Amino acid sequence: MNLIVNGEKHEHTGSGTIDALLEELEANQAHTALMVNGDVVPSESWKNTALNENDEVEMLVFVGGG
Amino acid sequence: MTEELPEWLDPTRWLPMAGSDNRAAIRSAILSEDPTERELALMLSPAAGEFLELMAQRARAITKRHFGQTIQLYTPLYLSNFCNGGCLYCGIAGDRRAKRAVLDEAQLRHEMEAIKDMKLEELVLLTGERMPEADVPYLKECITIAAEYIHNVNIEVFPMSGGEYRELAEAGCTGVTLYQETYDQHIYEKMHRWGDKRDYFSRLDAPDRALKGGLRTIGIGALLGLADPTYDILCVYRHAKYLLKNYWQAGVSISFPRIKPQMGGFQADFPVDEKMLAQYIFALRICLPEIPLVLSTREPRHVRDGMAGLGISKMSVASKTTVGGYSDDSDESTEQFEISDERNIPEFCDMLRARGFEPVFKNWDSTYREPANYAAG
Amino acid sequence: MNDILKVGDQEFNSRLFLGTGKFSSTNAMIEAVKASGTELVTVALRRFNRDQAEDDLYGPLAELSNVKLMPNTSGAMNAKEAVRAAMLGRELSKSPIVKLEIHPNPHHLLPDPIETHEAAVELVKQGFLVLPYIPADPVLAKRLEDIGCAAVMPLGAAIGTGKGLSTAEMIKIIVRDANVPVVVDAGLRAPSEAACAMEMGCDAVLVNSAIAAAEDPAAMGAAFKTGVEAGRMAFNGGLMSTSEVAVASSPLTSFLSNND
Repeated sequence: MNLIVNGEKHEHTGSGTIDALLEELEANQAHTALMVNGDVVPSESWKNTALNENDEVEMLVFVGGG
Repeated sequence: MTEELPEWLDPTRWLPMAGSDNRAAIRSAILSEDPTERELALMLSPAAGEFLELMAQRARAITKRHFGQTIQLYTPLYLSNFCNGGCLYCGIAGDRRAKRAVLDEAQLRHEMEAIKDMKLEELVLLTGERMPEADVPYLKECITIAAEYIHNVNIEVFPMSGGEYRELAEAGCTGVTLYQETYDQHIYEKMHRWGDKRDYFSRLDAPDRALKGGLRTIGIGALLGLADPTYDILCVYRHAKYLLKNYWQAGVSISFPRIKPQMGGFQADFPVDEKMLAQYIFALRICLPEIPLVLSTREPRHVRDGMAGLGISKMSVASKTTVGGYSDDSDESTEQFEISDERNIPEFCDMLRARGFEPVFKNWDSTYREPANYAAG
Repeated sequence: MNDILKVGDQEFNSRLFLGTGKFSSTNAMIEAVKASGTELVTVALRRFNRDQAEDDLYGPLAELSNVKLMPNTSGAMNAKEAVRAAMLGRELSKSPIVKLEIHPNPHHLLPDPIETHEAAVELVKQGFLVLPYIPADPVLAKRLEDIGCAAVMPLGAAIGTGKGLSTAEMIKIIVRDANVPVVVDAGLRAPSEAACAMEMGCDAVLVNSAIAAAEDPAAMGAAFKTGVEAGRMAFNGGLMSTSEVAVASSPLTSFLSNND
């Protein structure tokens, strides 16, 4: 399905759960925080949350900051 | 029977400093840029009396910075001298032979007309202990009436509940004056022979209840002479700091009532003379630069004249301590304490102006009269 | 002597907090963090980039077992964004502590008091331990304390300017009136300035640029550690007072008698 991930178009070829998307992008699940369409999605729900066509996904990690 | 003082009040940490005779340390404290309680204690020591002139210089400079060349004026009005209290030091205690009186509405309005004619805008309404003749409903009425005439109505009465304070705030009362009399529990117990006033801690917490109840300003103080004044002044300082920190929108002021011999014949066990009074005022001005410091007409002319602007930023004027008293028909035998400065307003203001001070009658507008509200917690 | 810093229910032995931004490398940052003895570092949130996976600090910082992570909402331009950033940060840190930072101007990076207050109200409601980064405004500090912030973090000077305690007089008032810990955050350049803040009575300092941009960040981290400790010891020891010079003039107290 087509998704917008971190502001860019992305074609997801996995099963369509958040879990699957993260695996596809090789993101470390324990180090990633996630929003779908502006809402924070807690990690406990990732296995069961299905993404929909054209969903906007934001994946965030900790980096250096003051 | 005494309980432990709350930590915010207990002055024992710096009390020993108030017995210091280390001249260098005292001088350094007086000149300190950011004086703390430690410096205050040093300034309260008898040895600091030697540096009175230096303290006066600093006190004047600081008062000028924060209050300019102005003196705030207010007047007291006794609503009632009915009292069943047992204060050993007071002329209208329950067992003293004073003629009792209470103002009715007509009399109060008469007094308010006279006060308004004198251009006064700040008033303190006084009663004795809680009595059926002058309880909260009566006070509420009086405040409502007084607030029709002038902008800033305050009370100096018995401590009450938070709910009662809120009622009075909503009726138009701006502030409360309540002296702990002495913070020394042993002496407090001795001085208050019977009645509600024996409850030291309920009185101590009353300013909190008043401010939480929506009153905007609180005046505190100790009756100098009842106990060791260095103890009491340190406690007044700690009390002021506590109120400033926990009720950050409230105005806090400090007064310096001093025991004078009166009809009841009470003599102070710890007499405070003029120079000691001045020393304590200077010390508090140096350590609490922004707090109004108040002197009443209990003090003689020469003291009031000299202390204006030397730490003191606010004074009562044209006071009567008889019930009513501003209109012509008051009764002298209802007086709580003797007035030492009987000058009328024009005379007093002339004196102030001659010394370069502008008398200020109004420092508050009734437009701001809504009770204060603190965020929960 | 027990001098533990309590922020909400969290306890710290070190009164030096560190920011993790602007370091030349993750390794340099880790070495500085270790040398500083800090127990709390701030981290920011950025979009995951699979080509820059080494930017992810979570792993390296997680290895430092006594160091807590405090997400920073920096990047947010308003309350709504800051709240969202805080919630994302909590997802990762699994901790309620958050540095609330909202700077709408990307040049001076000064904090927005209005958006900060609004965000703080919401975040406190959601159970966060909010540490708001604010202008050194004593009234704002009390307002934020009133609504339940766990501390206040007034700036010494604008981020990265190294102008030190330019807001010293305001910070003194904040310290005097505060019932929550006061952490000076931003603008400190030298360990002596951190010591000065501690001598004033501040409860902790947060330092980032001064350490990250030093020639030897690890050495600077150690220097700040010592500066903060010295300042705190001096404060606890009771500093001697400084003197104002009194101006002599004609006597003011001759009116006082020995009567009464």
